[in-house]
Amino acid sequence: MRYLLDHDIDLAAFAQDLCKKRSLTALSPLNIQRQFMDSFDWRLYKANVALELELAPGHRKLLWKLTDNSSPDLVFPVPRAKLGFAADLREGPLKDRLAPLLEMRKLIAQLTITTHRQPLCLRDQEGKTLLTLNLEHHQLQDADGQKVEPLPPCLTVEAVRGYDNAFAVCIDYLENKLQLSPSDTSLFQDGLVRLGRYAGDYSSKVKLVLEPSLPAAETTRTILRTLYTTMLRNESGTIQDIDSEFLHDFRVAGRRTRSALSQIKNVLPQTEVDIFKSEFAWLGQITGPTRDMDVYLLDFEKYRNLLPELLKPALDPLKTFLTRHQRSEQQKMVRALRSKRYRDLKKNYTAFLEQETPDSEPPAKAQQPTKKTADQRIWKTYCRLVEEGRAIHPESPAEDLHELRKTGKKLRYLMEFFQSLYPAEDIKALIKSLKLLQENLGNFQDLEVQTHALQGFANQMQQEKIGSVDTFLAMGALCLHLNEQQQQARTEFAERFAAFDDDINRDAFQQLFHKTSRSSMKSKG
Amino acid sequence: MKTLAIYNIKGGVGKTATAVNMAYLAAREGQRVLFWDLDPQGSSTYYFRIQPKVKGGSKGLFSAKHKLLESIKGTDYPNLDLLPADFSYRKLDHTLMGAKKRNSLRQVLKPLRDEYDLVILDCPPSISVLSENVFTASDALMVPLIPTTLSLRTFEQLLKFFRDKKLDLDRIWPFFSMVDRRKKLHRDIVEIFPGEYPGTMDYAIPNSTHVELMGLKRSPVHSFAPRCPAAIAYDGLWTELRERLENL
Ligand SMILES: Nc1ncnc2c1ncn2[C@@H]1O[C@H](COP(=O)(O)OP(=O)(O)OP(=O)(O)O)[C@@H](O)[C@H]1O
Ligand SMILES: [Mg+2]
Repeated sequence: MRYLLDHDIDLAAFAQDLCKKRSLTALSPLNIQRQFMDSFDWRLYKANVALELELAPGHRKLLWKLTDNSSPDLVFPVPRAKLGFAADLREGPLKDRLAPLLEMRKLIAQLTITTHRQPLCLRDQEGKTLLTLNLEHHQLQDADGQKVEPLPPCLTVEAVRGYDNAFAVCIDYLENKLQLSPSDTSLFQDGLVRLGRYAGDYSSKVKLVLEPSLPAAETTRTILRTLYTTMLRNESGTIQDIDSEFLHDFRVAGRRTRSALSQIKNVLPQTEVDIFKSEFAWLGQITGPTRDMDVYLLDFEKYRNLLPELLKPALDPLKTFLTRHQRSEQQKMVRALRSKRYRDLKKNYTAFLEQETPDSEPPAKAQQPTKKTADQRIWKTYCRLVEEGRAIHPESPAEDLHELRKTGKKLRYLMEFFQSLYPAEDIKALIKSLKLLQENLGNFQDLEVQTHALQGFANQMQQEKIGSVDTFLAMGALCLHLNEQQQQARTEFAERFAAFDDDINRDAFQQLFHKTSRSSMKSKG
Repeated sequence: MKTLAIYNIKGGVGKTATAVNMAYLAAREGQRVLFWDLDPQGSSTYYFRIQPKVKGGSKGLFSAKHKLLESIKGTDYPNLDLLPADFSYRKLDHTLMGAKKRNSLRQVLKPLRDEYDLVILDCPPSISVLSENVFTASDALMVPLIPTTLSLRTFEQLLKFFRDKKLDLDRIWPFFSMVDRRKKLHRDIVEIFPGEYPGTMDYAIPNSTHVELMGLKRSPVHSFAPRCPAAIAYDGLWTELRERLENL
């Protein structure tokens, strides 16, 4: 329970008064630094968890709260090392809880508040605590830990299980005698709002609400702007290498941008589109090698587990190699992200996105209603995907599957951009069926790339004198496993594609994106 | 959820002291712990400064699950709740006797499965229907032994009981309690016994005035003497216990 108090309240006097009237015991006051921890993409919040770090001299607590209050708060000891990755935590209940939620993401302080807290305890004659009141005033810090501003002081009531009566009496006193009304937001939420933010304010997913009748050019710019915002939000985390997913999301936003530029045809001025297509392709290139290293490192445990017990330790030098190269690739990438070319790209692209008025000779489909453009583009790409897929036979070369995967990705991006124009359930089902196909194609392709990469690494490692004979033996065994998995993905393809290309799906695609005039007349009649 | 009983047929061997400190250490690490004071004397309930009173008495406890949930009290320590002793627990044995079920306690604990990671049962001495229930409800039994010949004899009785009832002997984990290193007999037994009973835990709790003080301070030893030899011994015992529980 939390009650907001007046800004100018004299907390000491109020505390004294409460102690006298309600026979409370004042404990020593604390100055606490409170950090509200989550991953950048709010994985804890999405799982209804609020993780709060409280630090004061002699007071170190990590509180695990469920935001729906469905179970009491848990208190964990604060790990000695700075909180970050779940993988770095000691085995135990905290790790057990955090690891499946965070996966590879790092905990960061989403918000920092300094609280002056005066705890007041209600105890029975045995000296047992029946409830605790906290009188608090707060100073909010902004993202850089700089600007500090006060938040309204508050009074919180911590109940103790099994002492409902004491709690009820206390609440009655606060609400009916003192006329306080409970706050329906948390301190954390209030702090975020003050900073112009909210919990869950970042997601890597494209969530757009589009207007079907607006000109396609305008909508396309909206899509591009959203993607660009996502990209920029990940820029600093990418440069600092906070965790691997900043770069990943940065790249995905760039790839989606490229896809939007080339797939939504004849809507934006072609000369500029061509320039930015190639600039974003460049961005993809300079960030690629770091991402590759990230992926191998993320998958390292999976690789290790493919090996027989005896060979597992032999793979460790590969990790050393990957870690070292990840670092140097990261440095190279950071240099590129500080280059003039990148800065110019951003400057010019921002200007391009801000252009409102169409040029003197607008592209052919700039004024076409968004919905029509979406229908056309999605339908066309879908047809291409089906055509390419049907042409694949057991002897088709790997490149054909690779091409098919790329077409699938284009289709998926288009469907995601324009999702809000279609009945949610229908389009979601189709995206899901496409995902299943893409998963198979992605597996196949990744395994192919990984096998080749391992070969390349082995050569490089020899040159750099990393690894023993056993290491190379282990990497050889690994290649074999990956190859087997790849063969399996290849065998599964036919089945997966057939499932995607069945009558029901085909009808659904047609219904959603390519209603013929006859069928629309039918529905009118 | 794991259930651990601290048990010995013999009284006054350090069961309650161990149960309280193990519960405290488990909770401090972030485990959700329920401490059940099964002893009508209510010593641990007293240590936690909680009034011994269970709504509806023991009969109610075993007939309606929700009564049990209602009787749980939060202690002054995070993550640690207590199910208090009640003098009507004297009736507990009779209640169980009437039901003639070895599984009643286990059934009673079932609804708590999602709410707690660890349940610690602080048991009264002697062998009774209640203790049989404890044996079937627990994943393991920690047995404090004072290193004396008499103490080892009662331990033999416990083993015999387990053998007779075909219960799993691997779940009996003895450890030494109130060890007085100045006594040769204590030193000898602590030395020899683990060879005869390999399940013995590595850590032993010394005879300690700090543990005695728990009654006066009414709190776990760590909260007033975190670095005393007994606290350090409990730390070791807890680490070993945690590992054993994980490997169950
Ligand atoms: N390690 C120790 N050193 C010194 N005294 C101890 C130690 N452990 C327990 N005691 C004291 O011995 C007495 C009995 O301890 P405790 O209550 O823990 O035993 P118990 O086996 O639970 O007894 P009961 O069978 O009566 O339940 C208490 O007064 C306690 O303070
Ligand atoms: Mg006892």
